[in-house]
Amino acid sequence: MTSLDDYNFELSEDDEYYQFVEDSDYESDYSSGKVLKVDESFQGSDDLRLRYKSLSTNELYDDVMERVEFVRTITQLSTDSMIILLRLYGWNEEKLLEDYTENPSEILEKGGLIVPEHCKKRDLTDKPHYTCLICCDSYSKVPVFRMECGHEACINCYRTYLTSTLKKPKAPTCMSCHLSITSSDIDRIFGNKEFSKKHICLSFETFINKHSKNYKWCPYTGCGNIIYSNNESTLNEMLKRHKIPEVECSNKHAFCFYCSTEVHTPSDCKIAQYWIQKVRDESTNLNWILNNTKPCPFCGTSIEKNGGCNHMTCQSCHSEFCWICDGKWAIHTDNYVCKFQNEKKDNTINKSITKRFTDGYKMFIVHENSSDLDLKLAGTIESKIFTLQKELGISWIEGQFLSESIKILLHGRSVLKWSYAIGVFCDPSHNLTHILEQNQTMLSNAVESLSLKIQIKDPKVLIKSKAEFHDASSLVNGRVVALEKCCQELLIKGICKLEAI
Amino acid sequence: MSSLKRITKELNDLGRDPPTSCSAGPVGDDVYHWQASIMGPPDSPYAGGVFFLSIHFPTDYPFKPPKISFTTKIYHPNINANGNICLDILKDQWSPALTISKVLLSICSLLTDANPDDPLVPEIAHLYKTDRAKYEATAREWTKKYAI
Repeated sequence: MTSLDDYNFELSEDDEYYQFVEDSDYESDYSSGKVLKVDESFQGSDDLRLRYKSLSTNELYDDVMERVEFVRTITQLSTDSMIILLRLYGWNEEKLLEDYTENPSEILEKGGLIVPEHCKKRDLTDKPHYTCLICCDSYSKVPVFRMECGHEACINCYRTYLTSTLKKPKAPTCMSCHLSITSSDIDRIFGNKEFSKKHICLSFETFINKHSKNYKWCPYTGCGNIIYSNNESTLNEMLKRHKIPEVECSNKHAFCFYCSTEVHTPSDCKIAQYWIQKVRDESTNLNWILNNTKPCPFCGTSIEKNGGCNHMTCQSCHSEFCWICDGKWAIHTDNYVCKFQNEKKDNTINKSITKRFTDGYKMFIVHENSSDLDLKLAGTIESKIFTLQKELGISWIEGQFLSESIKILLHGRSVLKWSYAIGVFCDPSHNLTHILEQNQTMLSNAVESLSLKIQIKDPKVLIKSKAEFHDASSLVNGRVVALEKCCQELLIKGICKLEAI
Repeated sequence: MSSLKRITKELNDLGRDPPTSCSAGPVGDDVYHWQASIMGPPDSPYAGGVFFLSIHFPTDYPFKPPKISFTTKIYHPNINANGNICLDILKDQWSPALTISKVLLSICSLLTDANPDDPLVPEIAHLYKTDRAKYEATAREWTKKYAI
C-alpha cells in the first residue's frame, strides 16, 4: 500500500511558510567511488534545502483532522468513529485501512463502536432524586450521562473520569463496558469543544512517533512546536551528500530534522550521533583526564602528576621529561629548574584514535563553553542597541549590525565546534586533513576577533567600528563556508570515516 | 469527599451481601486502609489456606485504582515476594465501576488460573509452564507453611 504521505498534503507552492529549493542538476555518484574534482563536484549543493513547515499543536490538530477526514472518505464512517479507530491503531492509517477492508465488523467491535440494538439512545438528561453508583452521592437534581448499554453516572463523575483518562492513548470507554465514548459525547459532557480537542492533542505523542519520518517535535525544552516535512527525496539527497537538514520552528529553534539534535553542521548525522553518545559516555572520564593529566611528549600516554618535582618518568616508555616544558630531562642540568618553558617543540607523535578523540573533545568543549558565553553576550545585545539609540540617536535599524554579528558569531562557533568531531575521524596523514586543521585555525581566529569586537562596551567605539564589524562578520562567513566545504569533501571522499573509539 | 461516601457504601454492601470466600474491612479507624482475606480456591494448590491482603484507597478513589498487596507469602507467577499483584484491573484496566468485592473475586480467579504469559516472577511462570506438577507441589507446600 502506498503511504498517505506520498499523495496527500502536498506542501503548496505559494504558502509563505515553506522554503523552496530548485532541484539542482547535481549528478555525481559518490557511491561508485569515483575520484572527484573538488571544485566542480560541489557546485549546486549549497542551495539544497529541505522544504518544511513549522506547526503549533493547534495547527497539527488541523492537519490531523484533515488526515482523519481523508481516511474517513474511504471508510465512510463518522469522524467520531474514525478518531476512535485511529487512536486504537496508534495513528497507523495504512494498517487500519487494511484491517478494516478485510473485516469491518471485527474492527468496529474492537473499537467499542458496535452499539447494542433496540436500546435507548445515549443521552445526557437532568434526573431528579438521583444517587450516583460511582460516587454514591445523592442529588436532588443532576445531569446524568447514559450510554446505550444502560450504564450511567452523574456528570461530575464523568468529568472526573474523562480527565483521568486524558493521557491514555486509546479513546475512553464506558466505565462498565467497552463501548467507546466519542469526541461529541465528551463535548456534551464538558459543554465545550476544548476538552475533546485536548484529548486528541494528548494522543499526538503516539501520532508523531508513528509518523516520525514526516513529523518531528522541536527538541528544545518547553517548546511544543512540530516540524512537518514530506520532502523525502531532498532529505535523502542531503543525507547522501552529508549535508544536514536544518530546520527552524516558529520559536526560532534550529535543529537537525533527521536526528532531532542541535544543528551539527558540518558533521553529518552519523558522526554527530556517535559523537554525542561517546561524549555522554566518556565526558566524566575525559574531563578528569584533561584537567589532571598531560600526555607524555614521547609516547602520548596520559600522565598524572600527583606530587613531587617536575622530573617526570613515563611508566610506559620510560622516557624522562620535564612537566613544565615537555622537553627531555637530560638538558635540565640546573637543579630541577626549567628554563625552556617558552620553547616550542615539534610534536611528531603519531596520534592514536583515542588521543585524537581526546584532543577533538577538548576543542569541542572549549568552543561549546565559548558558545555559551557568546549566548549570554547575545542576551545583552538588545540593551546595547537601546543604549546606542538613547545616547547617540542611532536608529534601531542601524543598530541591527550588532544582532547580525552575534548571529554570525554563534553560527561560526557551532560550525567550528562540530568540525572537531569530523577531525577526529579523519585520516591524519591525508593532506586534506591538514587543510581542515588550517581551516579550523582560520575560522577560530576569525570568530575570536569578532567575539572581541562584540564585547566592546563603549557605545561610541561600537558605532565607530561598525565597518570593522562588517569585515569581521563577512570574514567569519567566508571561513565557515570554506570549512563546511572542506568537511563535506572529507566525508564524501571517505577520508573521514566513522570508526569505533 | 466523594471517595469517603463511596468507600463507606462499599463497606456496607460487603456487610449486607458478603462474597463467598472473601472478606474485607477497615483496619482500625482509617477507612482508607483495609485488610482483606481470601480463602484459597478449592480447585487450586492454595486450597485450605487463608491469605491476607492489605488495601489502600487513594483519595481520588474510585477514579484511581486501590493499591492491593498480599501480606501472606504466596507462591504464584503473578505475585512477587513483596506481595505485589500483577493484575490488569489494578493498573491500566481499572474502571470506576469496579468495586473491592469484584477485585477480590478477580484475585481469587487469578489464584485458580494464573497468567504465566504476563508474569511478575519469571522463574515461577517458567515452572508453571514446563512442570505443572512441581509448581503445584511447591505452591501447596508454601500454603501449608505460611497460610494455614
